[in-house]
Amino acid sequence: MFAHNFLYTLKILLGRRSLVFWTMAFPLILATLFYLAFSNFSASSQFEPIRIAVVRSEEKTENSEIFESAIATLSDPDQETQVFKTHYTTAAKAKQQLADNKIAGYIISSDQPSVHIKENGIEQTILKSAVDEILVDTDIIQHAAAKQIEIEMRQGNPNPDVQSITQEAADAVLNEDVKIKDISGEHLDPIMVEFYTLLAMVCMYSGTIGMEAVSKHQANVNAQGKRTSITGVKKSTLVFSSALASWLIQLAALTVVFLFTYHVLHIDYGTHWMQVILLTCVGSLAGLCFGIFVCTLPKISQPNKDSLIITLTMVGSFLSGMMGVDMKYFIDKNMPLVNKLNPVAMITDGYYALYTNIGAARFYEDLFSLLIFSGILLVIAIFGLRRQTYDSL
Amino acid sequence: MNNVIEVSHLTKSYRHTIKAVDDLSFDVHEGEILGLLGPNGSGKSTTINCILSLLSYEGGEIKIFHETMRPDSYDLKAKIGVVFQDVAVFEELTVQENINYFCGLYVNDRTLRRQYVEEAIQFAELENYRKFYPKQLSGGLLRRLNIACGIAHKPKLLFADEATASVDPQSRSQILNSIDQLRKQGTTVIYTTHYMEEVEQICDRVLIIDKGKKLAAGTIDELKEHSGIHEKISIELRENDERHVEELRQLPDVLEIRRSGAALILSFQEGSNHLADLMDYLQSNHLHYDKIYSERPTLNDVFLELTGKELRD
Repeated sequence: MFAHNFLYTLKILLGRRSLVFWTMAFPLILATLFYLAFSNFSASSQFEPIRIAVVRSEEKTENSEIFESAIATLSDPDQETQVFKTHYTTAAKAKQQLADNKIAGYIISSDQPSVHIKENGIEQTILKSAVDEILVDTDIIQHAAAKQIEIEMRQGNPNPDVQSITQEAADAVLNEDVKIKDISGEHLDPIMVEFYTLLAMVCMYSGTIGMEAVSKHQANVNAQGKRTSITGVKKSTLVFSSALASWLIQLAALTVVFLFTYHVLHIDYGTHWMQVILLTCVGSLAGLCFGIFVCTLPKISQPNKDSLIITLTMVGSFLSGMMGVDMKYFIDKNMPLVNKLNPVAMITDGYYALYTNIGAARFYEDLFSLLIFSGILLVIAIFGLRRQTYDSL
Repeated sequence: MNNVIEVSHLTKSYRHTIKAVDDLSFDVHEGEILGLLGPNGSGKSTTINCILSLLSYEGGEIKIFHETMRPDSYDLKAKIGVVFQDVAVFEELTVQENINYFCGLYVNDRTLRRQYVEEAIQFAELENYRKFYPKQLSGGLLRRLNIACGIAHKPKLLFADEATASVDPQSRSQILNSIDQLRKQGTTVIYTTHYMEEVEQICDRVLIIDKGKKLAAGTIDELKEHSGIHEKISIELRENDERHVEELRQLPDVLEIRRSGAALILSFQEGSNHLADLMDYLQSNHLHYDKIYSERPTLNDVFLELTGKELRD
């Protein structure tokens, strides 16, 4: 029965032309339009190191030292890809240089470093992302160092060399993970965010297709639902086989979009293909769970549920930077909780983390956030779907 | 007599205020077609949906094949077929695929299923439309497909809710013959309709409900007997004078007089010479008429008497 319903759900869903258009054709059209719109801009914005200033704090702390070391690594002109062109100055001078647009922003290095910018832009986004990541890694370095010190003391060394242990931990973390480098050998291109958001949007479109598939087993939604509810097959079997079919279709759609953008539009997804595939599968799963959740919402008509999914996906895509990376930065800076709860932003951020190699931690944070998001919605949806009798039809 | 369905004191309210089914009890016997009659909003569909465990209900008990029907009674559900008022098929599947899909939710064996699907296609006379999509079918053919999807797995119990709504006379006749044929094959059927003549044509027994309550139940003859109307005479008078209506009311055995278009319809209780008495009155009063005829009461008269309204009100 599982296979029977699975195969027929595939057939039914693929027979819905509007669904196929929005799932497969629409993203391809949009990607092509993005490509045409941004290709000139992208070509003219080959990555140049970003001019920034660093204001050293008078009081040196372990944190500030690690932080400045990381900034120095990212500003090293001998590195294959230099992210920042950094100079050290006073707070007053940095402020003046920022006002004169001589620098994209400045950092006040202290125990809790802070970023100062005048306006939102691509360079500012990179600066902010890099500083955020360094702060995360500073924390990791301190924990790693503390753990090593503890081990050495347990092994009978009463006076471990704290400075060298910290340096070793910093080298390990910073050299392996922190450096923002162009891993594909091409220039780092912030325009990629638009395409990643597009992919994230396609992932979330699983919601529409998932809802279509699952609603045919809900007696309170349509006549087909009434009929399938009075069969000898368990509802869970019907729902899961339908959900699996819709997920498969969505993954097929994503594969088409990937292949098209990679081979035809030459969009760069970096080299971490396994993680890219994993993120895509999880992102699509999040979309599916979102759709199933919306499907179980009472007192909303089917067309309104469709509109709800599409509207929320579009708003989520907009806030994630589909129409301009500035928006993503603005939301990240002023309303960080919004994008922490926005699945499109989580997926976009995950792709970007893989592309820029900002750090595995950020990628896995996005991945697990998506899994948690999916899990919560699925648990709520299961309570709605378990229901087999209704107060009214 | 073996009961396939036993409904005892079924009570169902919407939003705890509107009582849709009110302490309803009835049985359905094995191999019969039970006509469930009632005006719009009388609780017919609610009763069926409660029996099918699609709707929750506050009180009462429902047994199908002597077992209590619950939402997870999958073994019982496997023996049931449904033909709903709304056509429940998928636009993206052909006629054959639709039947195969729904049949496949009951029958796992592919060979057997292929045979069942073929039989359902022949049963619904859809042989020439196998590869057609639902939107390519006429209203009548679509209804036949709806029925084929509901009966392909050979259910022992079939619920047919307004199965002939909005179809042409030819398709209606085909559908009624099909349902009668199912009964002959041993299927028990609960049949709801707005068409009284369909009930008279195929139902063995009738249950009349209104406002969720049972008003009467029995065979069609029993119900006619129960109504007290023995004879009906329709007359189209050329003179339209209320005084004559009042005088006609005084004739022996007259139960009631009502107008239906240009005709006056006189209902008589058991007695004799009703037509002769009426003709005498017309002659003695020099009244002229275009048509006059006598007939036995119909189920519609019974229904009207019991509910006070036409079935299609």
